Amino acid sequence: MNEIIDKLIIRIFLLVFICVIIVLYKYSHFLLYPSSKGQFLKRFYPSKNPAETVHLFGRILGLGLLFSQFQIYLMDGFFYAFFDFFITAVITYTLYLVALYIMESIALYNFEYNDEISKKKNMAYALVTMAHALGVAHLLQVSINVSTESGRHVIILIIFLWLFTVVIIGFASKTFKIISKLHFNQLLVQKNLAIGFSYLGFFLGWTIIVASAINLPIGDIKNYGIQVILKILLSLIIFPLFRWALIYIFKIEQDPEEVQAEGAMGIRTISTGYGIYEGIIQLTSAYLTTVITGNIHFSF
Amino acid sequence: MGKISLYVLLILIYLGLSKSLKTDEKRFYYKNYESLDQSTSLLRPPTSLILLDSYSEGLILKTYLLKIRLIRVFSDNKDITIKTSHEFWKKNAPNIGMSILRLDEGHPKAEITPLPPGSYFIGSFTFGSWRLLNSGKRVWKFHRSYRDLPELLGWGKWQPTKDFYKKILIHREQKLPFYGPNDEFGTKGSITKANFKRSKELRKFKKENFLLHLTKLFSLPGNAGEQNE
Repeated sequence: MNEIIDKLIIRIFLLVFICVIIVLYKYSHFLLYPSSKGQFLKRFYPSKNPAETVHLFGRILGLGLLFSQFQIYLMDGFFYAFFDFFITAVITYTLYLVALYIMESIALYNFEYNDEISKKKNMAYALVTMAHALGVAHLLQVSINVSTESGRHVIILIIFLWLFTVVIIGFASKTFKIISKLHFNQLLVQKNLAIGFSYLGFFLGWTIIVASAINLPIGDIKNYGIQVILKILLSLIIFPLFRWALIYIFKIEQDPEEVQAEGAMGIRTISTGYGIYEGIIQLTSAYLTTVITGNIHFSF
Repeated sequence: MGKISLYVLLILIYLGLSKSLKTDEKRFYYKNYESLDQSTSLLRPPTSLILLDSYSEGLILKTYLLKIRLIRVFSDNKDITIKTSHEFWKKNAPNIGMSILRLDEGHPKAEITPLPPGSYFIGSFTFGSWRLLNSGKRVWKFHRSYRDLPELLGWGKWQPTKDFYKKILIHREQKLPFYGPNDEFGTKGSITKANFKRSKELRKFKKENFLLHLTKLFSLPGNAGEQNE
């Protein structure tokens, strides 16, 4: 019985620790968005601002994803297990926030959090930030997994993989203009949900491709880097073929001019359905691409 | 059109980078005997090269490979795989298990007539001597320090006789390939087949009974078949 209580206490300790990390996030929110200072000190009403709910819970879900990959081994004693966990968790958490800051500086440099979320309640903006939160968290989650499996230099490898993935995903996010027919800045200003869904699918699709590419055992760093780059290049070859195949098989008509809907004040704008279609097709093609690039095992 | 060009360019970049950045590639390219002969890093005389296997890789663009064993008397023996030209690869197709190149100390040029493995050592009293058997035959026996050589040469239990040695000398002088009096050596030779496992055989897909495979695929937990495994 004592043993069961010990185990329960350890689990509750861990729960408290993760809650502390979430509290830390609450306060680090002011660091990321200084203009929103004081906002979280008030009560939070999700029904009043759904955009803020999506934004906030995207981040919290990201934190959940991040911690889902941690393994705690108590064989070497309580102190060492939690010390290792604490150090790794704090570093990963910091890297997560820095990566979010970098991604938003790249993709949303024209927009201010306080204007878009607090004042305009821009759901499209919230979907974009949610895409960043989930994508970056997934990449860090895979980085932690790969580093832990290597068995040594775990912290250094997490930092290396973080840097590597942030550079790749940063460049990748710039390809939205090439892949999508939607105008990012223009539609985001218009609070058009189509751009939010399209970008969500696009970014998560890229995340899946990069995560699949980095999910290799690390031996020699140079070889590893080359293999990852080659795998991403291979994905770039396979991805358009799947996209084309899906469009061809289902005879999808994809001209955004024909799918315009009546927006606010009677202005013609892109329909949400088109954005959902773009997002889903990117995500599906990316998933199918990883089957080809990562899951085929040749016998020799 | 622009998108198609970009896509083709992407494929070319991928193929080019894969080829040039293949960091695990440790196979050197030797076009023919001359280029092999000039490789001082490989050949430290006295050396004998035994061809262990020849195969090709690639579905459309093929790479021709030879697996060779370097028997270097005064340094370590080594099995290596080299890339080669199609001509050289084809020329050596019947020579598996044979000694395809021998380089002696003080000789500037290597001898390239395909001869049975160990031809370089047989008859040289540095490495062994002739023993008289009860049957009246004389067979070659290596000194104790070279007792591993018959295994490396792929002889198995076979022992060269004096008559065999004489035939080697004749063929060597006439520069004619020699596969043994009854073609025991070479790709189709019985001694080679018995002592050298070819990659083709090792890489063969395991043949499985389709019905058995299907039963395994749909087997229920706790099945008798599963327990037997």
